[in-house]
Amino acid sequence: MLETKNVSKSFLTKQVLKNVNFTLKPGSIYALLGPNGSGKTTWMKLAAALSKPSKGTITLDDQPISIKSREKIVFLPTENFFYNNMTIKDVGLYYDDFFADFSIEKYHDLINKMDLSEKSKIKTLSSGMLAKVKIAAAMSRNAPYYLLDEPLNGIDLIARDEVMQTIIESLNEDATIVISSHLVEELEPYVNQAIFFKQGEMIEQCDVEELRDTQGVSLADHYRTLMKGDFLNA
Amino acid sequence: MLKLLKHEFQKQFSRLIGLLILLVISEGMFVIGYYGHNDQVMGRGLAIFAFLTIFGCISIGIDSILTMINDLSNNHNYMLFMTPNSGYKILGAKVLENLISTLGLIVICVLTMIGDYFLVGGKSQYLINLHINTASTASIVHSFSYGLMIWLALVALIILSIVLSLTLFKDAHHNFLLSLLVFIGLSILMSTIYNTIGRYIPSSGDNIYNVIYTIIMIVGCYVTSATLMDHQLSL
Repeated sequence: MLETKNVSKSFLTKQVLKNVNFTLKPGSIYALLGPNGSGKTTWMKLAAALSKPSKGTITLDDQPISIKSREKIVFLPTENFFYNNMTIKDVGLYYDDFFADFSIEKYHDLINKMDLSEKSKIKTLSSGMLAKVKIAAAMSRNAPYYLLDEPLNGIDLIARDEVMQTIIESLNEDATIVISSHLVEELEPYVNQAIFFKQGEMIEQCDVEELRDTQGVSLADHYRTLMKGDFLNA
Repeated sequence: MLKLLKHEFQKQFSRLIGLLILLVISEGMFVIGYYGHNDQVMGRGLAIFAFLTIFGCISIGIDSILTMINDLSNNHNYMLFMTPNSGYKILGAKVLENLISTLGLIVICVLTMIGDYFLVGGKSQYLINLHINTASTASIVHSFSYGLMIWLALVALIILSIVLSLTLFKDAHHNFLLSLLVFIGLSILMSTIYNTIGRYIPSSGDNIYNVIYTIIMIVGCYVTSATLMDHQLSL
């Protein structure tokens, strides 16, 4: 289990996370939702051991998050981070070198499935192609936790569908995935849990299906209600 | 760490190859000058070769600093810090790559120069006039080793300055200027400590003191930088 207990994070004079508490259970797909600057990326970086909380702890299977946790947690940042002189093939080889759970065969398959050429240089790829390479690299790892920070950013509808299909098809049953995105409607068919962040605080965690069945509300409408305080008719 | 080292060398591959090609060209000038009985071409080839050796060592150091800045302060930092490698290993691979590249260049150049000397030894008035003997060779090696150590200390101090400014002033603007100010501050601190301790060292022990102090400084900067990267750095 990935547990976040009373976590706060400040940078210089700015507090970006305030007393966040929640637990991620194995085998669930979480949507991490909230406006820009609400703390979603900061939480992901804390969970991925790329930053340290100012207060509180995040534990993985009862052990505090550390450098070693990166063996079990896949973090995919929003930005392009591959070295410019790399080819798609080089990206796979890099991941293969550093992650014991990485499958180079699966990477080759995913790249082929997404109609990409391994000889292509990273610097020549469009944003949609880069998103696909990032997803292929991340999902070729067989880790218990995946934290994908806005994987659908800046890519067209068809590519978004392909990326989401790839994510869902690549997942193991026991894996837990957290996807942050502003495209709430597109995310809704795939997720079963939602966590809402607002101004650095975790304001709600809910079951998406329960929301639909018992309250008759879609995830997008519930998001609007929480963030704007009123329900807008479509 | 071997895999980190491999990737550090891959990053510097084109620069190292470029340097080697230039060295081959200058060495070619030397050999052509020798067989063509043209002391001018030979001399120029030798001068360019020597210049490239020194320039190469400096450029390796500067490149490692620029790569470090690139790796730490833009999105490429995810490539290193998403992997399950500690700051010690990440930084260690960078320092080792720098050291191996520099020493490798020096060894190649020295062996080439020795080969040149034996190729023309006794037959070229130009080289005879250089008066190369055991004493001058030992002096050159000593000066070069000391210079290399000082250069490594400078690189270590610069790396520490970069890491300090990125950890202490994560969200501040003008990070480069801050790194420069931190570097100046650290340099003043290091020289103050050096001078303070140095007052108690007899003049006969100056050389040993310089070496020990420099080594401690290099190790201290490395350990501090790596510890800060592990415990304080926020991407």
